[in-house]
Amino acid sequence: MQIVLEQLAKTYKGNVQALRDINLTIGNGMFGLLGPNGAGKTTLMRILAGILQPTGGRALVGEHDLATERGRHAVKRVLGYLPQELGLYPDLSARDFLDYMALLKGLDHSAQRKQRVHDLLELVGLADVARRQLKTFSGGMKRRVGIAQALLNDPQLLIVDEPTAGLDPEERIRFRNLLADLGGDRVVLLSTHIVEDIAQTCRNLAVMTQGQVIFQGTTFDLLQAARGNVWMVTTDGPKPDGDVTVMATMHQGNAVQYRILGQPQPGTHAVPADPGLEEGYMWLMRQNSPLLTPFARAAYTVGREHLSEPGRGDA
Amino acid sequence: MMTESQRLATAPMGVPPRRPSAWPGSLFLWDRWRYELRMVGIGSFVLPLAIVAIYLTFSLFARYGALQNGGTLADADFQMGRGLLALLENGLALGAGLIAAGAVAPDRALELHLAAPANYRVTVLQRLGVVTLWSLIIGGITCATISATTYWVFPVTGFDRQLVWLPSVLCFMAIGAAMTVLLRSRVAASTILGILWIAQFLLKSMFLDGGVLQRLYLFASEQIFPAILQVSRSQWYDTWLQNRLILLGVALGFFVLTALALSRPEHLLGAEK
Repeated sequence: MQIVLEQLAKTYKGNVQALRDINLTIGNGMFGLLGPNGAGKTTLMRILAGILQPTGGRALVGEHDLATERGRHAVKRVLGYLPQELGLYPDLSARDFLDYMALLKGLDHSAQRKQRVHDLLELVGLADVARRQLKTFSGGMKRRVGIAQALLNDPQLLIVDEPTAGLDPEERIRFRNLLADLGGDRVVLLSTHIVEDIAQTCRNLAVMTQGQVIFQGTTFDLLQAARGNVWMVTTDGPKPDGDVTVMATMHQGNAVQYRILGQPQPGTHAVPADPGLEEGYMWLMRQNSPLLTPFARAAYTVGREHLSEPGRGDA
Repeated sequence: MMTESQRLATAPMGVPPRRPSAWPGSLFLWDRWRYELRMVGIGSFVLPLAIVAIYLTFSLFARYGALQNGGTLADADFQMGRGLLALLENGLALGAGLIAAGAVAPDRALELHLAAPANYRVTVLQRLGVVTLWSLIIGGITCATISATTYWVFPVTGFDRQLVWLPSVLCFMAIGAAMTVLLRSRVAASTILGILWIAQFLLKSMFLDGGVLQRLYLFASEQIFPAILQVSRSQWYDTWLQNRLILLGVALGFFVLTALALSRPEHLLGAEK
């Protein structure tokens, strides 16, 4: 299955432009969608889930056109969706909730539906508490119920919006691994503002801000964008200033070690460091703030010419 | 090699899970109805019964009070009849409106439902249908029961007796449902229903003065009683009947509005803000 978005746009009432000119092609496997809050990720997810209609451009999921009612319905039949704000019925047990969701997804055969629910409760490790009411579940357990409901119809397209928000580290890692396992033969679209989640699971990603896609490529490309712009500065003096972003601060006795993102080199005592994906993302956001001024666009475009060449310098 | 997660996630279901029913969430499945009844909640079924019990109790007290104050048995029965008339037209209506507002309240799993092949509007209308049917059953049985006793006091017969309660019940239900969907808040809708209900008493004289408001007065039976006993039927019946039929039309309009509002996912999600 392939998702193709061409000049996709979404404008809400009051001329609020949530998405502008989105062009993306997404194939099978895990695909990450990064961006700050308010970037338009959730609107894009909702359009791909057939919940909202685009107001411009084209969105194809497989051969289904999301601009049509028929297309949206067809997509929903092969879709698994875990929204950012997962609402559950607190008085239902996990098993009954999944059974109800399976009915809504068209799994009408009672015995097969119950077997599927049982299998998925095993998968997410909730079989032992299947009869407990959802209101007694922790945040992590509710997220696991959420992923189970998304898998009920063995979806070809799995959309998960901020799935690890509010989870403890152990739950987060478990969840990430589960998603990565599922990404083998289907499209798994992971939307988040937590860079680490993308770094650990996705090879391909896009970055959005203010309703636009400002980057599409591999995690390696994004990482390379920051190469030559990350520095370590150890000082017992004042905090480095200027046009830099302090990524980390570590106290070491009387001295303080800063990890800095910026250009040019913040003083002769600054030592170049290998960038992480978070720094690649932050560098990208710096380049696009204010969003896509002609200068920033030009600078970024120049940088991208070198992105796929490991070891090359400035972006 | 497949991991345990992959194996379970693609576990066979007997039928290919990628080809679900062409009519997901079919209206003909008992399992589906069973869940919708649970979603509506036991409170929705108990509330009209509780209202009947409360009004019946007060009517009995009124009857007892009349006898205690030296009234005749006929006077006592008349007081009881008035109380039951109020139950039919005022009590059941408020209860029905509140449960309708609850039935169409924003679903806790709204976004999941909107992303499912089953149509959300159909689901909500299904729930509204359940509580409407329940309200009609309670109203019909109550009306029939009172009619079969000596406590029926309002001077109409036959199907006209159903018009004492049906328009106000349906109006309150439809307004409650529409307000809940439009405002995306059950509490706001319930408050509006409460204000509307009280306004019928406080602004009685304004409503009954004539004109358009008279046609839209929700308690046109109970609030003109017993004054109509002093005048000939021709002086009030046509206006009363017109009021009842107009209210049925108003209810229909609000039901249609509810159905239309339910088909706008952006509004339901609050994205239009």
